Amino acid sequence: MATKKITYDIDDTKTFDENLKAFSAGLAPIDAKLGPVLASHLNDIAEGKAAKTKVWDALLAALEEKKS
Amino acid sequence: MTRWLLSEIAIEGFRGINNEGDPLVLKLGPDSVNSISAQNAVGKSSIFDSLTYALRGSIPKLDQLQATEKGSEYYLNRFHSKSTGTINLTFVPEGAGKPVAIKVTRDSKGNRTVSGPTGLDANAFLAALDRDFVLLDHKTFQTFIDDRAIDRGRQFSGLLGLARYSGLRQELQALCNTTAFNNHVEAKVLSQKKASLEAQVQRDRTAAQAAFKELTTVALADQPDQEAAKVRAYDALNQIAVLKAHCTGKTFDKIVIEDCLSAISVAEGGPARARLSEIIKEQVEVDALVANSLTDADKDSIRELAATRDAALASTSGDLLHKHYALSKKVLESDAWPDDTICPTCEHQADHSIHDHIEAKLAHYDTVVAAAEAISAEWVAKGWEKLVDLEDSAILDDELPQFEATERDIDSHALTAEQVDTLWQWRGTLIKRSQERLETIKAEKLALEKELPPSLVALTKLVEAARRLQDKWTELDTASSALKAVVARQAQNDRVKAFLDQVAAQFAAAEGAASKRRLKAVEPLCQDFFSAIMHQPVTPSLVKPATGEGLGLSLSKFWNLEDVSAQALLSESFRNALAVSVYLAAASLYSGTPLFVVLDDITSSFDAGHQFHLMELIRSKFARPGKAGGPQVILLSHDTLLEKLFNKNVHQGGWTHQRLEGTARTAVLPQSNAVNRVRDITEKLLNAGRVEDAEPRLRQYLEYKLLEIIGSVQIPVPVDFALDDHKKQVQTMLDAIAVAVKLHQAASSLVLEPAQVAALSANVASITGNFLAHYATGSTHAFSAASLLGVLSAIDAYADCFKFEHPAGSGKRQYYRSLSKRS
Repeated sequence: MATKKITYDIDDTKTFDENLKAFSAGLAPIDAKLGPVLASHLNDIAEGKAAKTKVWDALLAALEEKKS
Repeated sequence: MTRWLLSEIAIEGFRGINNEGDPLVLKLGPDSVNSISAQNAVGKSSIFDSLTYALRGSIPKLDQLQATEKGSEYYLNRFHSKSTGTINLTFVPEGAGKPVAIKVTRDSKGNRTVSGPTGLDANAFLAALDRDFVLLDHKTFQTFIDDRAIDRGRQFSGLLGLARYSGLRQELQALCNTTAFNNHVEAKVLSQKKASLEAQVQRDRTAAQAAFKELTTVALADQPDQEAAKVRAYDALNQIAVLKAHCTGKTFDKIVIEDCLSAISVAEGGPARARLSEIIKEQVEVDALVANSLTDADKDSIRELAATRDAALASTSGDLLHKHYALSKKVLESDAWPDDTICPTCEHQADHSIHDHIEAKLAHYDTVVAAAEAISAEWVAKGWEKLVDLEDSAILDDELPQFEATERDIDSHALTAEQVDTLWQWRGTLIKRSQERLETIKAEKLALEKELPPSLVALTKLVEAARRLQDKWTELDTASSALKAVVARQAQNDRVKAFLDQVAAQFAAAEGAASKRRLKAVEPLCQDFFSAIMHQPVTPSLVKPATGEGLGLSLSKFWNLEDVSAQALLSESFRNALAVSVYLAAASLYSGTPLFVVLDDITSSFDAGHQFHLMELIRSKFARPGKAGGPQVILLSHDTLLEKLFNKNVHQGGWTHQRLEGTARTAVLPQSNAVNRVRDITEKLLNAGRVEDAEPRLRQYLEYKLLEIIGSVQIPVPVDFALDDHKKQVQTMLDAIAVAVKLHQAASSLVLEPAQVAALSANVASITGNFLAHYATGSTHAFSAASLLGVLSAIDAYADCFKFEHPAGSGKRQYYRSLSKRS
């Protein structure tokens, strides 16, 4: 599945958390299945707390679920 | 977003502040510039360190000491009996709102605790206040200029409020790191599996085509689809009368070949036919084993890879040293290691980079791993594992299965060139035995075919072809399904990777755009600040490349030169002015949650004039209340000239000054009413006979009072007064006052009473004769407590000569407005 090209801009009038929320909301249009999964991990990723392997596994699992 | 100002700092048992049972408490004006002066070693930098620990959880300058210095043991005051450091910070929100008190402690084991009001995450609160410009010292500015562009760029990103964005970008980029991702999803294993399955499918298809042709006499490729092919194969058996009973009601793949052979045996033959059938089956199997597709070129290919690995392995020194190198590399790359020319094992100082040396060592190990992976991939891709079947068929009872052992361990142990040679020789032996066996089988088959009727032979061959076709179609289905699953898995991996790549690229582009935008906003303000400090025709420029995180510094104007290097041309004071300008400009525009800036001795590279310019910039253009909405500035300084300026600024309003007195061993105390506090302590020390402790304070008190007189009655001072030698300043001030008094006397405009004029000379004589004369010559051993108490009184009496009672009869005395005006 080809990913959809969209653009995102940081809003200088908003806080990091507000901008992160906006960025998170923009992930689903890129990939409807993977976007929400990555969005659910985004806070931990931003804090440097997310294990990369767990994020990858969650994304791959989302595609497995779709298949089933 | 609530923005926070600092209203109080209380410290006990931390760094150079003992204050056991009586913490050092600094009240800060939230809407004021707060200056705090102290002589060297009185605890000023300990305040900075305490704030650093409270906000950042560590003090880098201690952590970065060599291990032998045990920097972590010096967080706490060594004289405090409880070995616990406590830092209490009180913050107030901008505008209105409840203050927030946060308590940070550290015990002797290095444990840190942070507590705050119920319902508040105190750690998160402090973390939100930890911005790059909140705690600034001279070293920070120096490092900013001297840093590599990449480090400066990262620092600048934090200044622009983009540190968390930068952190997220790096995390996202790490998520789409190709090597790490491919390792996790076992991309290489999948590729090998796919190649193997594709080869298997091709082999099964070719074998099925041959069997179909033998059974039906037509080409499988000519059949419109798989179902039609199965019908054709079914018909080929079903048309044979003796087999019809075993075909009726079944599909081709459900026909039991053994039943067919039994029927033929019963109908037309006996043991000889059964034996013929077995021989035909065996011949097919042995044929397949011998027809191994490996060539000498295949052998040479894997042998070359093995030889490459052998050579790389010879350059390594075993697993133990591999682990040692990897660990050393981590240490060298950590922020805690000060110098990469120092060996982390023996701390020997080398004349080259230890990091580069270890990288070269580790590269040999990487080459070994890469070569081993290449061997494993080649093994699978060329079908070496098929030789296990050949070995199983031709091995003798007393021989060891070499291919089976190699196949089992190929991923973990790879192969040496010598082992490849041995295996190839072993393969030759196995093929030779199989060919000999094949000759025996063919001879027996020929004999049986001669013995049996031709029709029976042909029929048996046909049924055996049907068996092979059944088998190959089943194997083809299995291999095709497995291949489909592998391809699907690869597609999932590719989709996730492409998604992550796009997300990371998109965020990086957004962060880059924000960085450029903010840089564009900061640069003119930075130039304005720089100009306000240096007052020279020099204009700095902040240069960010189109890609990458670096930040370059250049001078768009340097007198009549244009676009020249800032690092190469600027003197230390200019460099510091540039760094200060960058930090203050960024803090002005992007301060975020913290609305306070602590500056620790940032003027040490400046002369008095530029110190004044910098303070004036802070007072009028940067800090509140001079700059509405600007940050609260807290200045820490040991500079006595600056302290005079601070005291002057206090009179102008919007500025609060405190002086610290004390020692790390006992206590550090603020002198909020500095002049009187200094007088009180001087008198106390003299009454206790502590002349040596009192003498510098008496000097300080005299300076305060003379400056107070000069400022209050507006006495002109020489233009070089501020720059004059410190020891001559008191005399310069006394001279300036005397000259001004004489001038007004001559002009008959002096407002002082005759008795006051007369008292001036007497008091100056006491001050000079009993104190200044000895002080100037260094013979301070001549001081006595009694004579210095007299000097203290003379200073007060001298100052009183410039005061009058106001209102009359109130007993309150104030300075004349000037030497010629009463009020």
